[in-house]
Amino acid sequence: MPAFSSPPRFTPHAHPNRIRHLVIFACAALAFNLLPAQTPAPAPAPSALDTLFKKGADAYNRGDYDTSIASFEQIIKLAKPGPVLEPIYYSIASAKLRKGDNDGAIAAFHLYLRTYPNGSQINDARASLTKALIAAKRMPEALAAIASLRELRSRTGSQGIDNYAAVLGLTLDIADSLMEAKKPAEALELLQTALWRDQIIDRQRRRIVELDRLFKQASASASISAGAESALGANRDALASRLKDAKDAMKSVEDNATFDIPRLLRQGQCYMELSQPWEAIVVYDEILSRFPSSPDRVYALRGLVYAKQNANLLPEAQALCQRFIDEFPSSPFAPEVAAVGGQIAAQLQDNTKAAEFFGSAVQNTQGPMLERVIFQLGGTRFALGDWPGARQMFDRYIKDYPKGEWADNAGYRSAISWFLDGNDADRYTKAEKAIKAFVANNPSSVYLADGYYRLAVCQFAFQEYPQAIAACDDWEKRFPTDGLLAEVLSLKGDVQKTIASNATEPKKAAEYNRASVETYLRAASAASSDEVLGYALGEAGKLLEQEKDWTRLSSVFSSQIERQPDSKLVMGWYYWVAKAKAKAGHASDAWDFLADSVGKQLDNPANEDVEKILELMAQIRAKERPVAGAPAPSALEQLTERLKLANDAPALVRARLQYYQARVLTLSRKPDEAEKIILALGREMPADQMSAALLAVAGESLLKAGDSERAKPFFNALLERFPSSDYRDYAYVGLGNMALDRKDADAALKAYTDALKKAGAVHRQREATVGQARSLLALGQLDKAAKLFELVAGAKEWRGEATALSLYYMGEIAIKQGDLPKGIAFFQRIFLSYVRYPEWVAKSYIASGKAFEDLGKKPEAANTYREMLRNEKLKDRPELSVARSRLQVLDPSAK
Amino acid sequence: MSRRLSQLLTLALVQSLFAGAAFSQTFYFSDGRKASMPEAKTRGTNIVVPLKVAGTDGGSASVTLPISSLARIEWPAPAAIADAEADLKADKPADALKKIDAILPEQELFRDIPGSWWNQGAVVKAVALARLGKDVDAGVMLERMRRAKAPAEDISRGEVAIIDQLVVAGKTDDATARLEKLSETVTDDGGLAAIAITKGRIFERAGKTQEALLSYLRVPVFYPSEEDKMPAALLGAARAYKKLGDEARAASTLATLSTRFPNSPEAAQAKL
Repeated sequence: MPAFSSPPRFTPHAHPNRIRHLVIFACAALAFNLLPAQTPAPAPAPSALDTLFKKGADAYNRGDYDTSIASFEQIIKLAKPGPVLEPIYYSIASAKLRKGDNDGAIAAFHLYLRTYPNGSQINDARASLTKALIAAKRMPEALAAIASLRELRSRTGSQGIDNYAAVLGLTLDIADSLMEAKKPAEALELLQTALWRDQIIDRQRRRIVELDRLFKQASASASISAGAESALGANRDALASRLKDAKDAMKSVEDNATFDIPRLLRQGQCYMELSQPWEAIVVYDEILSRFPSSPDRVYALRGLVYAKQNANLLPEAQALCQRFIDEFPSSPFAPEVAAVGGQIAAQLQDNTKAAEFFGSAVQNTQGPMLERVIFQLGGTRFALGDWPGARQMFDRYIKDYPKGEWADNAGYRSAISWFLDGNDADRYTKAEKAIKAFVANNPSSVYLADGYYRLAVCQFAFQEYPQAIAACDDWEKRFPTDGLLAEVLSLKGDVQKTIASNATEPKKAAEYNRASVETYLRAASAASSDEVLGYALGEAGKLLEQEKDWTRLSSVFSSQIERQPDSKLVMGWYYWVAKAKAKAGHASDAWDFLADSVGKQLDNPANEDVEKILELMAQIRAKERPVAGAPAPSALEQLTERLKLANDAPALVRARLQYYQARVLTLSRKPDEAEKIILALGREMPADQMSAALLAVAGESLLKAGDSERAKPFFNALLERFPSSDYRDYAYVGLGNMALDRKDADAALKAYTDALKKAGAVHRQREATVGQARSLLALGQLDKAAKLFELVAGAKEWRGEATALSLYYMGEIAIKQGDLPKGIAFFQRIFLSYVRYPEWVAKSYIASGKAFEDLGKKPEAANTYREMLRNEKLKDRPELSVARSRLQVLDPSAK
Repeated sequence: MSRRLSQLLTLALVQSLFAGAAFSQTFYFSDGRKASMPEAKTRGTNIVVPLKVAGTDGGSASVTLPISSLARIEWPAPAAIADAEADLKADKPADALKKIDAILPEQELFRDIPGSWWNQGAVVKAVALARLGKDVDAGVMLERMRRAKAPAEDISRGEVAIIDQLVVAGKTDDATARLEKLSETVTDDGGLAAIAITKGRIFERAGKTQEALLSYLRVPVFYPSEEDKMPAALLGAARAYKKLGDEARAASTLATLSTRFPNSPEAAQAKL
């Protein structure tokens, strides 16, 4: 946590008149009873004491404290001890405090307190003693001294003190000192005993009433007592002076509406130091709500940012950072808060916001923090894929801080930003140059292994395959134990596989394929992450499948299962073993093997491989030929029997069996029956017990059936319960469709973009892309929408209804842009080439006819409508009535 | 009565009063006279004071003075009030009510006289009634306290008890409205701490755990000397921490509760 700057300090009301009235009071007292001390020496005349006193008082008032002290000490020697000397003792102590003789003042106040334990100024003496102890940095004693004032909470009137606010000032001083000494618990305890403004006002008021009473009493005495005028008058004047001081103190507190802020800020700081952020939040919230326009709220807002960050309330903390920057753009804390906002946004994976915060910090920061924020801005832009922006910051960092803490990191990331910049056609050339320069300039960099690996990738990208293989081999020699070995071997496998696929000689191809399999298997052995392990084994599996080497395929994955039976990837390996068995002609064995494997995981909603295995089992089952003469058991019955499942199996297990049944039906060309099963799952099964795949397909089915109300919780459950599932794109697309239905194109666009960016659109890329295009169209962003529709229409693997839909919308966009013939051309392509999609054909006829009408080509328009009406496949389409009515208008003779 | 006799009676009255037991009730009348029990007795709305006539042998008389002529009374605190408070603390409102009902009628006569213990008893009764779910009766009691010009702190204490009961009964809207109104008038630490706890409970019932936590924490942060309120605040804060998934802070708060307030009902609840 950063060190907190000192919050604003409350300065208690000063007491310019205090010593004056003390002196006056002392004078009065002496005049009353200047009896000689009980010594053998002759008693001095009262006039001598008077002279001494006057000398001391005058010296005091002109700041000559040494003379004052000497005079008063002389009085003590000469005068008879007794209550009358109380003010003299007090004045000596005060003079010592004023002249900066803290130790002397401490001793003098202690003497006063011992001599007059019930003295009229006892609490003032305690307060002054505390002040002297603080000045002498004798904090434990100061703490004890101020503890003696704690009773002031309950003391008022004659038991109180003339200036309550002064005690708060002392409390804050001690608290600061304790904080400096890293004793926040003690500081907090002290602060919590301090009086609040309202309480101080209340007690000060009562003290004033008491002083006023004493003053009136003294005034009355002075006016009626003859012979002692000077004494009584002096007493009256002293009280008048004290009363004025007390009133001034009161006014200073009353005038200061934000009086409580300094102690509150310190209290909040104590909680932060004690790792009690929630308590700190309570304090800072209090300041912000009680003092909404005080300039000092800047400290509270800053404190609240840190408190919420420490309480892990990150979105709230981030919002507060923004509020801080908006409300206090020129505060010296603004860059620091912006940097914190950036860190929080980065933690929340909101890199766009993080870049904004860090950008603001870089612009406004000076001093040591600038180095950090430049690097952080570079890092955030790097995470955002803003490669030129990232490079700009990293290069600035290297230039300004060549020996900086993060220079190696910044230099390397600047170099590989070229490698990662997919928009730059020459990226590999530039990357190779930059990485080679980095490697040359930083021979002891921690990133050398990664750098050489990427240089090998560049060779692969340049299609310099032998050099790429040589680079991989060289890498292995340089860094034989580096953690990147599996990646490098995977790269080498990729290169070998590419050489094989490019080879014109079958022998060479087979040789490289075999080599590639072995390299991938080495990569799998070296892999330390599931990602690389899955990739390497998957590639090896595909090659072995391509080679139809079922025995090796089965053996590789069976061994892997034995080696890592608890791996998250194990179900995928079962898949490969079963596939090998099935391909080897042992379909029944394969199915049994899979059934036995999947049975152990059926009730685990987190295992997404279950549905993949069920899919493979469904494929095997769908290909089974029925045994002649015997009625085949249903797929569901067969699996239930194999797994020996009871009727009361958990809901998820039953749902997964239904899913298996539906997949078998789909693969047996009975999609309607399959759809009914999935829809029933959606209608009957609880969303909170389903797996990700089931939530995905059931949600989609419900939405297709028009039940968006029930579909929504399925999609939400999918996103909330399975935040890293492969099936999340179903949810985003579903939610996007729902948003588009309710004409909320912004929300729809966000959902479809999330499907692509956050979920990788593993299953629903086409739907997400079409959705994006439709959302952009709805938002009036015609060019962007047209580009996406063009992309969909041009994708061979998506050919079908999505193509028809895209062509239709491309036609609509052309019409909107005023190019009617171009629009007509798109529509005509649909009703000529996509007759299997009557919805889009019908819409295209109508749109085409209307475009002809708008062009004034009535015969062409009438012919279009006629052709539509003749199309048997459109006989149930609602658009027919439009065609008929338009034809009637264009050609009234038409029937 | 002759002037002489009057003087004698007055003198005797004063003497008899000084002879009263140190812990007995003492009545101070507006005209400066005073009398102590048990010699003095209450009868209806009057106090009857026996008189010994000076210079007579066994002669006696009495004077009847209306209670309304009392300036103040000195009355030792009835033990039942402390006992009933202890019952409330131990969450036994029925026992508290029984004990307070036994002594409240005798205080009732002196309700408006300074030195009476009626207010202290009445607030205990109001709180007990509220906790027993008899919020209407509790409300009536509070109204009587208001008419008797009971201290604002006592009234707010009863009011908070009624609001607490509304929260328990799930009437949070009503509770919130009453609490907001009450918040405008309460200024003492005890009342503010009680309001913070009740607000915490309302937030908790509404599922607003974070707000509940911040409300409970106001007690240790701003009213650390309100020891009576602390166990409820700490228990509430611990519950909130737990709901927020902060097991460490929940455990540490419960540890504070059981260490600092081992005999509180909340500490017992925390162990469950």
